[in-house]
Amino acid sequence: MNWLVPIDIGLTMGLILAWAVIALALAFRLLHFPDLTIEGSLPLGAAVFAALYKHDVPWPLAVFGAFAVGALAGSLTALLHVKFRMNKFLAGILVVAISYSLSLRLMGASNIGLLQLHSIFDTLEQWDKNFSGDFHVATIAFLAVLATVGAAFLLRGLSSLYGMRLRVAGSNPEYARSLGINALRKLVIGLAITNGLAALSGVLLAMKQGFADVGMGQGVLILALAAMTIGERLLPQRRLSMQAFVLVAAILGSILYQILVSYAVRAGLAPTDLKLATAVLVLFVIALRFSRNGELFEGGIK
Amino acid sequence: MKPKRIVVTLLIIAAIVAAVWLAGRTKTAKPVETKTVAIATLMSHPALDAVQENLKKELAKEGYIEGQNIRYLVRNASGQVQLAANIASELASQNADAVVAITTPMAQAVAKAARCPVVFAAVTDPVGAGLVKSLDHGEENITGTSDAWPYEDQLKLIRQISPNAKRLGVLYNPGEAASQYGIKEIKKFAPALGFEIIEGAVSSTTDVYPVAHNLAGRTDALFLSSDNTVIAGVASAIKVAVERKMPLYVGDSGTVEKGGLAAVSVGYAELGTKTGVIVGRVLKGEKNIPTVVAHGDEIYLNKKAAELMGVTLPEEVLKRATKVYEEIKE
Repeated sequence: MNWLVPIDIGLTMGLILAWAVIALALAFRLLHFPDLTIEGSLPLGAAVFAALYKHDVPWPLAVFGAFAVGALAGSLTALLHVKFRMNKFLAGILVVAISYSLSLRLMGASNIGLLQLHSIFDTLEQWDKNFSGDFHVATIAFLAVLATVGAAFLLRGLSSLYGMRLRVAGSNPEYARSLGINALRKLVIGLAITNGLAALSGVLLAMKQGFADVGMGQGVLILALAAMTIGERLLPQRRLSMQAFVLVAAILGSILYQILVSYAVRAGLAPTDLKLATAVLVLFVIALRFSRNGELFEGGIK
Repeated sequence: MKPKRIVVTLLIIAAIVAAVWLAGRTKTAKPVETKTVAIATLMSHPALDAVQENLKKELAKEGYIEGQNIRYLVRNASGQVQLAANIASELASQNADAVVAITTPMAQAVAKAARCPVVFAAVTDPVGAGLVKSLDHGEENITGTSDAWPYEDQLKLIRQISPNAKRLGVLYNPGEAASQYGIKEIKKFAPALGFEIIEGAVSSTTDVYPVAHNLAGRTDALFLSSDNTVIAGVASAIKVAVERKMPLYVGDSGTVEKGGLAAVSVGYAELGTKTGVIVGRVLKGEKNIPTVVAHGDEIYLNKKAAELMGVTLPEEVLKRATKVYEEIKE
């Protein structure tokens, strides 16, 4: 039953990176802001967490710190766009660059090993070792509960009056203004939340892999985009509200994407072929559902 | 809204998890005689490939012949750091007898996930990376080889070839663990040898040319740290050195062959062999093996580069050299 291992890994990694995918999807679909910042806020979150951990800060505080700094990065992107009328992409790219230097400064090195850190993953791993052998039931269950609770929380927020205003501010700033909503402030808050989530993804990843590295954000954006696309293509949309669809699709897509990557890795592909293989797999999924139509599939943002 | 939806999603995930778990309980029997060695590396790169190749050669010498009584599982992240955890988990499930992890992030991820002995290779600073507590006492199941460059010897060689050089420009990528360690070491030994260090930070290979150019105007000689980014873009640094007629010192034999002036080098082939010896000991069941540091003491020179950079190589250095390249290999 070894061929099932990639599913196990895909679930674990997918649920960890789902937070980054959710961050991208919320910004992209609900705030209508193609936010590149996550490529910087994810490693930044890991860096803050690792740096605080190294200075003996208790872990809940370190996690909160990571979220806060990630949120700051997100709000900086929004502010650059809003205050200096900077292009959305350029604002994101600038903040990614800032995050890189900041991560290096905070960690005082490019890489901090977290092997001595006894995180929740090590406790869960111990259970898995004793009860389920090769498969990480406890780890996956924990991550699944985390994702479900988090998504439910976000869903409630987005469906509340405040969340509605946030979405209106993103999709139609003019209209929002006419309703007396401060669209600029809403965008800042929105991106702060999404990038805080991306930073949390970085923290989980650092805990799982046992290190924080400034290079770990590289490719996260592409990964998140691919995961988001897969999820949106495959999830039946009919009975879900827009915000629920975006959230569930992000989580589902993240898991599926990581499962695909895990099978590619397991095949022991040459490094030259690995990226192509993942790209082809993503294309395959998208092609499968090529006939889909709906709001999200007709050239994206309206 | 719709808590039902959430419950359904949770149930589906739970069902998948349960299926995976049930499937996992029926373990497949493993053939007894064949040893399995998993190799995980972050990227392909001549020096890192040399490690892999010579590791296999050494194990073959010890009687582990590929295809007969040893099986290699090779995984390469093709430079994507966030794949490290994925690869590490995948290899952990393979019930290998040992996992060889090449490069720092890969070694950390493998050490975190592995359920079998881990042998790291080409990790510059294993203590700083948190892999081992000290170099002399190996952890129970983690050991390996370090490729720390002999910066003191390298600076001494620079002093010998360029006796009048005062300011030494060092190219490095602050985003790499190995370079962070390198620049610290260089700064530690430089004052005693009368060098003032001018740093030139590079974040991608395209930065190498402008940064080298900028440094060249302010320094008497150029040097670099054990840095994948700078080494990948070393051709442009060589170009600058030739244009400005100033020496470019490097740190590995491969780069000297490509036109670097001189290096005291760690042999990556030798590093592979040493890693192979450790893997052999691990396969025999040995534990707590100390980390082996490859102390490079071989001098490599390039005569053609010396001519182009306007440097005269002292007779005594030429005599001590392990190998002198006459031409630049393009």
